[in-house]
Amino acid sequence: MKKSVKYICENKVFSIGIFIVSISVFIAIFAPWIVPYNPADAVPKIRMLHPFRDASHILGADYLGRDMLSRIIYGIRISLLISVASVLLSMAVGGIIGLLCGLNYPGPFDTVLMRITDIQIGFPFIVVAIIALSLVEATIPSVIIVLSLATWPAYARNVRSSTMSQKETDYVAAARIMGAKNGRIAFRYIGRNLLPTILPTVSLDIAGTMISESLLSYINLGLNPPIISLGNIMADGASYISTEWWLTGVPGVVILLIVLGFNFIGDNLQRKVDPLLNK
Amino acid sequence: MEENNIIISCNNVKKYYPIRDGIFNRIKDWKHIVDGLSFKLEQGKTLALVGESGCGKSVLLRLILGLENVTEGEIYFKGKSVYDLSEMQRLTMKSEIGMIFQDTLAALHPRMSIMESLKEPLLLNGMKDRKQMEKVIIDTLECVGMAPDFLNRYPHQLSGGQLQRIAIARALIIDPQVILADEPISALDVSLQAQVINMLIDLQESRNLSILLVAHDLAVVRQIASDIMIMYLGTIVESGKSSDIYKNAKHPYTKVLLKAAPSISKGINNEPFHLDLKVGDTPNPENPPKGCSFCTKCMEATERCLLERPEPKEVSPRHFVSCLYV
Amino acid sequence: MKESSKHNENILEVRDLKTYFNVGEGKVVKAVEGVNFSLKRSKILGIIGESGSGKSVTSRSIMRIVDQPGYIAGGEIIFEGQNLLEIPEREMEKIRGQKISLIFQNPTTSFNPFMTMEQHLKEVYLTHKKGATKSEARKRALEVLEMVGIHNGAEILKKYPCEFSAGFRQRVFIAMSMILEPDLLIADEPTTSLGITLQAEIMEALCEAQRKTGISIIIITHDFGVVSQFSDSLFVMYAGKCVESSPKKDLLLKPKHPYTIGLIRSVPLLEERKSKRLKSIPGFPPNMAEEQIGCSFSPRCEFAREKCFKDTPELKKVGEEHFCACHYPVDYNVEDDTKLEG
Repeated sequence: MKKSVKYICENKVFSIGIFIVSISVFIAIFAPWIVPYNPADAVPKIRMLHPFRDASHILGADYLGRDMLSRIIYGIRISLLISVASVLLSMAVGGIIGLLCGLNYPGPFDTVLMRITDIQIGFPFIVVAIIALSLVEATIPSVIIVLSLATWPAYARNVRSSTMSQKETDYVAAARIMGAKNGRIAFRYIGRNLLPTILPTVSLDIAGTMISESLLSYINLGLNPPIISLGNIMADGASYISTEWWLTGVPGVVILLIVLGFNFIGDNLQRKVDPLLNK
Repeated sequence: MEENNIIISCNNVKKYYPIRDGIFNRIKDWKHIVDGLSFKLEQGKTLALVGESGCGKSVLLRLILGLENVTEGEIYFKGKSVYDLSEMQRLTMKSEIGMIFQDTLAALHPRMSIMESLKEPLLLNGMKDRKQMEKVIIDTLECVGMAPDFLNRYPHQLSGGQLQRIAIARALIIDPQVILADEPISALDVSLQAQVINMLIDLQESRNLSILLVAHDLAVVRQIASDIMIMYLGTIVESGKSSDIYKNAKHPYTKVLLKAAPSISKGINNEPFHLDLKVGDTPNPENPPKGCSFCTKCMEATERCLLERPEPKEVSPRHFVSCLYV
Repeated sequence: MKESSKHNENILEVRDLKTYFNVGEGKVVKAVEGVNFSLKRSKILGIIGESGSGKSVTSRSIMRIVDQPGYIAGGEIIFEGQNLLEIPEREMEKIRGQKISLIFQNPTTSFNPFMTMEQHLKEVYLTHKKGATKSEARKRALEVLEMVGIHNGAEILKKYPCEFSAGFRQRVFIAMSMILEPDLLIADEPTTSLGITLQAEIMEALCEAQRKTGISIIIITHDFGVVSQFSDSLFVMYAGKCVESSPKKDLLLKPKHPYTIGLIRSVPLLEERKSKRLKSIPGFPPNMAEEQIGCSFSPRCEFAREKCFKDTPELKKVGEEHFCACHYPVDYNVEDDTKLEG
């Protein structure tokens, strides 16, 4: 524990990442208690209020006169929930598929699933998302699933190749000799080596998914109002972008900051969690 | 020889790997990796299997351990065929065999601490009590001369000699009757080699262990082996008591090995390096010679050697040589 | 062949060589700490040491190819009368390869898999010898192959590295390092990881090449058997320092330093020993990142006395051309343990 604290303090980039991400997680969790106003309340008097003009509406208000700060706080809550959940989902699905394929290689299960993965990779994500979201209604769960379509093949491929190479190692042979069965070997021996290699991609993927979510909302394929996500806020402001830039700019900067935070963590996480890299 | 004394016996064991080719991956040919091996390992004895890389000695260990299946032949553990045993019996068999790998760093899980790695065999043998486990681990570490403060470290933080001790400790921790050791000391420094050899001798005496030792160097097994088998290209060319091999080698390949091994006494006597082998590469196991496996390299080979496969001949009690001209 | 007048001169003299590694946090690992030795022309010197004893760093220091964060902290390396540590990098480049050659442990990675052996051998020759023609290069290539005992050179030259076994590749590599007629060859663990017969094959080829060209060789290995059979004089390293050096027979039959004795006692032998157990050296080599006080072998030494833990011993003369860094050199007879004969 002491070591981790020391590491974080020594590594500036990592600590900035941790700082940004923990603040946004805090905001996401306690959003209902920290918002100054109800984000759905429209006050016509303050329509298009510029940021930093009025101390009670520090980030201004949108075209309906809704407080921007409150909307962004709720937006962070939803965007973070969606991107984290979607990456966890794709990690679980991709990871398990990759593990099973790797163990099954060169069997029929592996062949079939890997061809499916190849096909999925062959389609550009945006096409997949458009098709999927035109078939189903955009709710929070459906958006989570659609977004995870973009990331799971990478996990499956990664985990599969690592499993395949680990299957041949001496330590797995040693475990077999000691009498370990397949399940134990898969999770205790092979699984343990997967996590440290996957973790950095996880935080990078959360950042990427956050951008994808905003993108989907921006082209009106994502979540519909009254659900507020950072992408939604930007989409709302898009029509006024030439005159009232801050309606898209402020949530954009927030996305940028959070994405940056996750990327900073991603780069350094492996060094932290992997005992192999600790001398 | 009493039959109950025999721990492991192999009877004409063969292992062929398919060579696949073409669009449909059809089996084109077979690689003869292990080609008809028979031997017996007795209780409390050390049997050394000596051969150069690629002769199939590591594959043989994998076959005994059940990591791979034999193509032909039988392997018996305490009189029961390894492949007849039910799954449960097979697990108990594994608790009676300890294995020491050649590359100890690769044989320990890189992200498990030494403690966890040593706990695994105990957990898999159904031990549950944590205190008891810790006691067993610390006792075993003491056996191999290690202090318990290494337990929380990871394999890459230890030196080669320390890793080798941990590997031996892991093999011993389940109190096995047999130890299979694949080149246990070839990766170690000279001063540590002697420590490990001594340790194996001590352990064998105190626990009445049987050891099957695989090595590529005849000098290394000199100190420890009671019986020696010389393996070449999947077959045993000569086997016998250790004194038979060192003092009375009959097979040309054994003689080559003895002559090629560098030694201090040869240095003192200014003996030059010399190799009585025909120039050229060792034959490929894909296409083994029809006659004697050694005929392509043997200086004394005649036409008969190319065509006729020699059978093991008993030249003196328990000393077998597979050569047509002995 | 070299002129006879030069015959007895030292081709290489290393004086008080120090190579340190900066490992961060102000710590310095003294990988080589004051090494002295000399090598006569056309002789073979064997450096013995265990992993981490600094033997490879010594060879890399001679070639001046110590990797970062290592640096040569002091000393002199006199090669054919000039100090290699004082000449500019450009001249050093000429010496590497042309005058001093290095053979690595792993011959597989030293070849480009897409080039034939002929291209490999010619490349070395043509880059260093300005104005040489291709047919000259080919002729020289065949010569050096012959030197290491490859008689069907023309056939070999057409092939690619992957068509040969590891042992054969190492042979060709030795030939390649001889192509520019260097004066000194450094072989860093040339046979480690090869089998017994391949090892003998390589050593035989090296011996043959040495006999034919009169080249001086430094062989670095942890294998006592190999060096004792191959070299004229021996040099034992422990923890970055030289502990004993002498002509071969003296060192093998009458070693003085407890570490050398321990090594000789623990080497596996083909001959029978008097006791069933080997007399091993207890303990582990020291951690080089820690400062060492006194003789670095003292914690493992059975003869160590109080002085050994305080003062670092200097290399002292204990016999003709026999040097030993020990406060209390031991008289030991190898025949006490084995049935060796001199």
